[in-house]
Amino acid sequence: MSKNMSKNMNENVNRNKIEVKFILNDKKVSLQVSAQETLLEMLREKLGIKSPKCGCDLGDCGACTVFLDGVTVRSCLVLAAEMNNREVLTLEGLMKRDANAKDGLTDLQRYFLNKNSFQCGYCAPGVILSATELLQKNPHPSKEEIQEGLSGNLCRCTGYKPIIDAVTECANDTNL
Amino acid sequence: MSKPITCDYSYFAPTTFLEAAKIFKSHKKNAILAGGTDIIPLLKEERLYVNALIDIKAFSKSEVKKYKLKDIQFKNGKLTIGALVTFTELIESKTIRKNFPMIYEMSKLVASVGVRNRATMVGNICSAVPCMDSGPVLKVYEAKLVVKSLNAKSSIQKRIDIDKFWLGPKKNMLKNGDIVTSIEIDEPAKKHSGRFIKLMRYGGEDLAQANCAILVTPTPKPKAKVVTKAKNEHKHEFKISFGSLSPTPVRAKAIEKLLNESDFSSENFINIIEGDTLDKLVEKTISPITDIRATKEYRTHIAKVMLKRGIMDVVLRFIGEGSEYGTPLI
Repeated sequence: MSKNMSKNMNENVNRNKIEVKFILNDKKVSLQVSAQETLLEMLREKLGIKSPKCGCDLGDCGACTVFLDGVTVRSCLVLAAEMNNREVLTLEGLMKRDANAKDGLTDLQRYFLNKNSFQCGYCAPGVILSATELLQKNPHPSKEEIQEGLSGNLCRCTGYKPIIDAVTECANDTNL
Repeated sequence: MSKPITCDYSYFAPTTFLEAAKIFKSHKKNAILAGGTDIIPLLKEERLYVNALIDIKAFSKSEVKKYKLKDIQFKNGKLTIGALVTFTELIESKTIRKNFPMIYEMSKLVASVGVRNRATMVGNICSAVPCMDSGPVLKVYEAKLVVKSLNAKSSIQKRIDIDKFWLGPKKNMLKNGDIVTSIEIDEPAKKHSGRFIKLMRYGGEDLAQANCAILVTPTPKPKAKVVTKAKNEHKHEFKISFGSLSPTPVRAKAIEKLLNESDFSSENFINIIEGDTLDKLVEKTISPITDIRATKEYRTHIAKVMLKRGIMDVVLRFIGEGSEYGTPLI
């Protein structure tokens, strides 16, 4: 046991070379990260995953939202070094997993599109992931529950109405 | 562009406390990482300097079980909330909803979903930010913190009363190397009601401008041998605590005493609620400051409003007619 222990510790002591192995968008990934790197930085700068955006960088705005082990988290508040044996899903992965073959969009995304829910689009990936989690946990949310569920995703363009309308209509669609 | 973390620390993910203790020995200036929703902003803003981050999320299953790190367990009238339990897990727990609904009510008001999915209640109290939401609730439940020291050789854990835990803004009484492994709460009474109120600048996620927790329990029956004048004895007991209104959450013992003097079905109780004695006691209890979220005058005013509305609602809840847990009151 002590052998393993010192081995682990030595690996980690070497600050700029922490090896992490995890699942990103249903594919195994392994790379070296630094202890100072956030999940957001790793995704955008090392792995080319651009859907999570950097907004406030302090966990308030929700633009950097990703799924971590099945729940949404702020990737700006998660260290890349923590990723060992975890599972990360971003909008890219969600679209590959759930998208309808015709247009490459998820059902929820189609409602956002039809309602013209976004303008600049910077908050969109975060809002889509948060709304996806909300509908997974609560398939028929009330307006208040939608507002509460999306309260951590700030949008400076729309005033939220078309976003909430789209989620409401998607939840009410009996064909889904 | 994201703001890089400049602090020059090493990251460790030990799998046992023994391993963590070894790391601690060589890295005395360390921070314990659980949810990270407080620590990472502090590192980014260069307000925290450490030479090691000790992540306690990678502990082995047996260690997690032994120290109840992921437990939400209600057994023999005692609730245990482990250090790795997130606010989302508290919200979704049937045990919490059924037996400690005020914890549910409070957890739902912490930040937003994406933060609650990571942030832990233990982390919330260890950060000791004056506006923490867990503070007043744990105070009225008279919680105890189970603490393990990385310095100690044995696996003995000490228990700390929540009343002694906070020393000031962002200061708690933990010594270097101490880790809070869980929170313990004795069920106040089978039948009890609570109310948590949080005032924010807007609906949605925000830190508290002021918050308040109120608990009502039936007065425990005196032991048989103790002789009391039972006739005029009050039937209920209030416990009240304010947060974000002083350097640390405060218990409002003077207000509790006043409320406990008369039964809440009596006319006198209504007089207390409507009179201004209560307001004066609030002013004596709290010591708010003016900051970015509110002025001290506004905080003082709102504390009085919160208290009165809260008392009414918690009494109604006690007799089964109050609002559903989780509905806002302010």
